[in-house]
Amino acid sequence: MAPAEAASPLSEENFARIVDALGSDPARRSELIGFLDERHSVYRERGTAAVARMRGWTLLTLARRPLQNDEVVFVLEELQTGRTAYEVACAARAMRSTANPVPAMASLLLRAAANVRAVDDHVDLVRYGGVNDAEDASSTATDVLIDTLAWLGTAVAGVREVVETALQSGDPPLSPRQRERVERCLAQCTAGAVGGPPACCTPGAGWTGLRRWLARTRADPHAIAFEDQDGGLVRYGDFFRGQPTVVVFFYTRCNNAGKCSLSVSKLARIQRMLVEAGLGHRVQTAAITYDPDYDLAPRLRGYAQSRGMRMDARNRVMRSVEGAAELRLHFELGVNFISSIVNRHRIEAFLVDGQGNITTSFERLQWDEQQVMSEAVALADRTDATAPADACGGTPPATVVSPAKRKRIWLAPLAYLAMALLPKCPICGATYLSLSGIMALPHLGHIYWMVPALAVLVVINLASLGWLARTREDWRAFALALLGGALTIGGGIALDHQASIYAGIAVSLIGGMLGLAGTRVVLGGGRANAGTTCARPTLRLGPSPEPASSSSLETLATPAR
Amino acid sequence: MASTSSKPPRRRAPTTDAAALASHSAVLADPRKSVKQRLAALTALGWAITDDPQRLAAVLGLLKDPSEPMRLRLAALAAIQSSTFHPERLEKIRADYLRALRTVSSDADLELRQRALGMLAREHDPATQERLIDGLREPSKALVPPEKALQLLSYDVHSNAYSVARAIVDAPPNETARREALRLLAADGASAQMFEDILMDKAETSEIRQLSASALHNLAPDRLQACARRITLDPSEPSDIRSVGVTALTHFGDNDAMQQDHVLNACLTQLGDGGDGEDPMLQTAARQYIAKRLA
Repeated sequence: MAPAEAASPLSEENFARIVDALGSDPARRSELIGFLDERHSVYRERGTAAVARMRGWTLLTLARRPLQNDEVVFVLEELQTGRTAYEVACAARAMRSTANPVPAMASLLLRAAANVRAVDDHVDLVRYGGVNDAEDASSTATDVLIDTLAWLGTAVAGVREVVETALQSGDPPLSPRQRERVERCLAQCTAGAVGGPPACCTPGAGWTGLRRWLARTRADPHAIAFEDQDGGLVRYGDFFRGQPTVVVFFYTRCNNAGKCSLSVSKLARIQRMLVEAGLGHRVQTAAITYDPDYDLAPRLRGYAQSRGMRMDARNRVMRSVEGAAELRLHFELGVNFISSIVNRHRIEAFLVDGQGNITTSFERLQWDEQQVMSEAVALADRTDATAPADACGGTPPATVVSPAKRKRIWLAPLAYLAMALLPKCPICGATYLSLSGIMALPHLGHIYWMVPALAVLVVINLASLGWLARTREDWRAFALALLGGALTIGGGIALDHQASIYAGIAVSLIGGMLGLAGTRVVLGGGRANAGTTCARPTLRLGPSPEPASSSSLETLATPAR
Repeated sequence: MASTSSKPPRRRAPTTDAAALASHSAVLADPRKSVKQRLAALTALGWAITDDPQRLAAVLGLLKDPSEPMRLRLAALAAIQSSTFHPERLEKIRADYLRALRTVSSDADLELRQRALGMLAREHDPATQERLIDGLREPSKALVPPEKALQLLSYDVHSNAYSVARAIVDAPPNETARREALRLLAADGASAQMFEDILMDKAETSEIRQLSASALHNLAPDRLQACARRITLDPSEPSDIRSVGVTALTHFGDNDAMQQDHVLNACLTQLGDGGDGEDPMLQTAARQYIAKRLA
């Protein structure tokens, strides 16, 4: 539980001003997106309604410029699970800034209209505040959703049947004017313009950034102790051991039926699917509350029971009784509090392996039970393949091979392969690192050690190019690689700026290629001795540039204000 | 199930005749008609008020108009509210309905204002919650008495009212407001210690201590057990509070711990067997304990 803290000194009026200023400066877009992170300190000790207004205004401001694919996820999240008229209306308006409208968006808009049917209200999207009680104001959240549906234009054709079914069933209920708008939109559509779902609709494990790495290294999951639905105590390391676990987060007082209640119901469905597939003994499940002070054991049991969850030693509903802060850090939970109450959270589910490490996370958008189950079973397969059979179960191998011997069997060919492929000179090193290492790392977002690994690789790359540059007295390639490294580490990792990563990779590549090209020229130009240096087994490491100063790391570890 | 009667049940004819509805609407809107006639027209319109946007706008206009008779405005509010019991009807008119309620929530008439605020609070309207909290922080802005505002805020645990409720517990404008503030805080996990302190404070009234016991049971049942034991064993505690302690141990205590607690059991056996001098309520509670835990 978050300790009660002094109310944030930033007024909503000033927040709106800051957001407006950020919105008018394209270079500070990442700061604007930072306000959509539930954990942002600006939301601490704010009421739920205030958080909704602030996030809604941020979405509207963000959408003053075309939305990038990785930004659209915030819009889709709100349309899928939002239950406040203002925030949903803001998301619908923001959707009109997407570059490529696709049919899936129409389905989401209709779903959002159904979600807000019981909370609809007049909204004001021009001024900060949300509610509009002026007599001449006529836009409700549903109006904004339908207007956006009409804006989608011919893209609606791809989900024509869905829209027609919605119209016929009266869900969501539409006024005659809204109905007429949808019918007009359908009439304009030509059948056959079916598109696929947008890439942005699938939550992925993206580049996580230095902040996430730092946060994770600060968290010690072994400090976490849980109480389960029966009052039993279990430590993190004892429960998350041996078998993979599907974990969802929730709290019993969540009033959004599309979030906590649905997540626990879906976890119960995964349990049933696992049992039906005969895999119930291979995957554990856990539902953990965000609100451990209030969600005591009997409440947890009742809540989970009423949603069909099976509970036993391997399937538990839990609250943290020690290490609540570590729990939030370890799972990087997207949640914030006012006093002891959750004021905002996102949907989040995780797969945790048999060693207690998080291997996969599903955030913001609704996750699919079948997909989560498949990934959990695949993880169980990997665990079974690597872990020795324990005394409690599993078939012992026909031939007992000692762990050391097994290691040697695996390591020997790998070592040969590594020797064959590893760069054996600075030129090869620079090229390898530029072409493969740096390029591939951004796609390994879920690997927690990627940040230091990338930093080391960048330093090695720079050192090798520096060595070449000093030999040739030509520092152009080194300067480019240095710039690339700074962009990747500084802008990309530290500031979580996707464009910086790719720009850094591109510049590093050019640096690497230039270094390589320069060497060829030199080799052909009479400095043959330079070629012999390729065989030298060691590299001389020059002074390595720091990826970021320690003070800036500290600053980045906490979300920017 | 097949009906055994050949005669169909009698049904009141719904007011769906367009001409009749138009006539009732005209009477309702005519200020020259008596209040009684207009009230009758409003009643005759019934749920049909929400079927037509123009008719709804007319009734909402009547509700918001301070020059209309208060009896008629209150009746208009009741008529619209009754039609909103049907979720589908409410969904159709919800935005306009809330806007009208927000308008009359500042009306000069306390009853109308209070009823409108009550309806908005039940809809978890954020703007209303914030106005109620503002009124608690600055009494000059208050739309309703503090105890009523706290009661309305307690409808939604996300109303952000805990900090202001704690301030009222510490410096209450009146005892009723303090009681309502404690009721609201009974859902706040961070207030368990405060309730424990109040429960153990002999200077507090029995009503407030009983309320605190109930809140503590909700927030921290283990701590209530420890307090209940101390209260039960303390002869200087009032009998009604000791009875609460014994009842808590009887119904919610840990059975194994209770059975091994010889000091407590001896005390309760003595209370249960006590003579005429013992409070009958406490005696009954002690006997219930013995019957459940020591039988």
